[in-house]
Amino acid sequence: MPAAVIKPEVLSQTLTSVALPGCCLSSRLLTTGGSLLSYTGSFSGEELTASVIANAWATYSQSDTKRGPRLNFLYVDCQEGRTIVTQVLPGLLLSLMSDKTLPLHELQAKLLVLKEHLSVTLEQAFPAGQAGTLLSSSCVTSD
Amino acid sequence: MQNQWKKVLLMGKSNAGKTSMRSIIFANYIARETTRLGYTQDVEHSHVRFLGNLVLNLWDCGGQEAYMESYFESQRDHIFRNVAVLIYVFDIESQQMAKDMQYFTLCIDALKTNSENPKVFCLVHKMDLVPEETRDQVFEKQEALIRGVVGSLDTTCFQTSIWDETLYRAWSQIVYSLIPNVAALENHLASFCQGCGADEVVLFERATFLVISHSTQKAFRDVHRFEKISNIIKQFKLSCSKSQAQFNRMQIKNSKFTAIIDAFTPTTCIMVICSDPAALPAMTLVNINNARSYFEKHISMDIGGEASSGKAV
Repeated sequence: MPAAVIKPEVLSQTLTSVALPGCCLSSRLLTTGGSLLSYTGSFSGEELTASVIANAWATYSQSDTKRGPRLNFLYVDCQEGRTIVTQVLPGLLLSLMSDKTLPLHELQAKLLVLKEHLSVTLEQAFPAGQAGTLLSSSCVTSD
Repeated sequence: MQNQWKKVLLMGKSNAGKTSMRSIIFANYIARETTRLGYTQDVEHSHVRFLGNLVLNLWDCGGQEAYMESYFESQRDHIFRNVAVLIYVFDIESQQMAKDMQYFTLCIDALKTNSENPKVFCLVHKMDLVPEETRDQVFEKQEALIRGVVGSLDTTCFQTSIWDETLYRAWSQIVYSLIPNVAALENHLASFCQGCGADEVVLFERATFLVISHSTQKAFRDVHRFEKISNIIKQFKLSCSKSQAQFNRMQIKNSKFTAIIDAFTPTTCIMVICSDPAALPAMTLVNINNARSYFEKHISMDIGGEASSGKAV
């Protein structure tokens, strides 16, 4: 079996590894199309949040390319917390959410550590930037 | 890639149920629609492509006496040459069982003469008409008669009915026995099932939705679940085609599990069942995508190898 098949537990455990007790930290791994691949944390409405994050990233990265350098981080200061998003691989986004007690620079540092940990695992599952196209024709019914 | 033709004969007396079961398995009829099928005249010959490189050559021979006698007089060598599988249908309610066995004996003799190492599958059909409490006894008696005729030929007998899952199960096992290198396929499937954290992974043949192989990490109560799922999907595919749409993928999610049924290789569909909350549907789809090319390569390999012996699915 190819190494590109990833056990979901492996992703969850990696995402959990940066959780800090008491900071309500949650993490999400998603595609630029808004499909949620893995998440940890206590926030609810994960799939909807993933769609919003992906949409925001797409909007800002689109307007960004017209003006200058590539978008590296997206930081959103929300009413009850903070969200930071970065691209792990072409087509894959990683976001961390925390409450306001965690300083932004710490949140960004955690994001970079997590990105480095995930990159090696995810490169096998998403070769040559295929993450954006792998889930393009999904048909979902939910109960 | 070379085509490997496997000739399958479907035979039996008049009104035994051959055309009905062929229609249900390969033409996606449902059981009640078979009431409008008339008598098969002479030999209906159809090819069914299976797993890409295998072609099941279905000879649905009209079972009426005139046609049956014709086979053995003039067409015996042509029909019984190079047969890989003989599927013989017995109508359990037949009033002429002695004559049925006589014709069966003629078929087996012709088979032994003209074909090398054929497999024989006997479907003791219309078992729904036999009272449930005597079914096993009746079947065992019929099986004993059959084994008395076939001798040393590799023979498997099934109780079947178009009104329950027994027909599907029998055909699944027949088709399973024709897959070359099936042990390796099952190992790969088991590795995939463990690797993606699934409870169960099932591989279906794409046209008939017969189960080719499965790997289960967790016990399930319903032993007939594959047949039920197959019927549901086949009916859904028919509905899609009526709307000019092609079935591609289905995802069903409730509080206990997520089921994804996806086109896998050009000739197979895969069903992945996950109850682990960490196994999100999108990640399962990624795993299926990544396994796809690997399986395409391995299912097509060793196509010229020996077919496996029959095994319960």
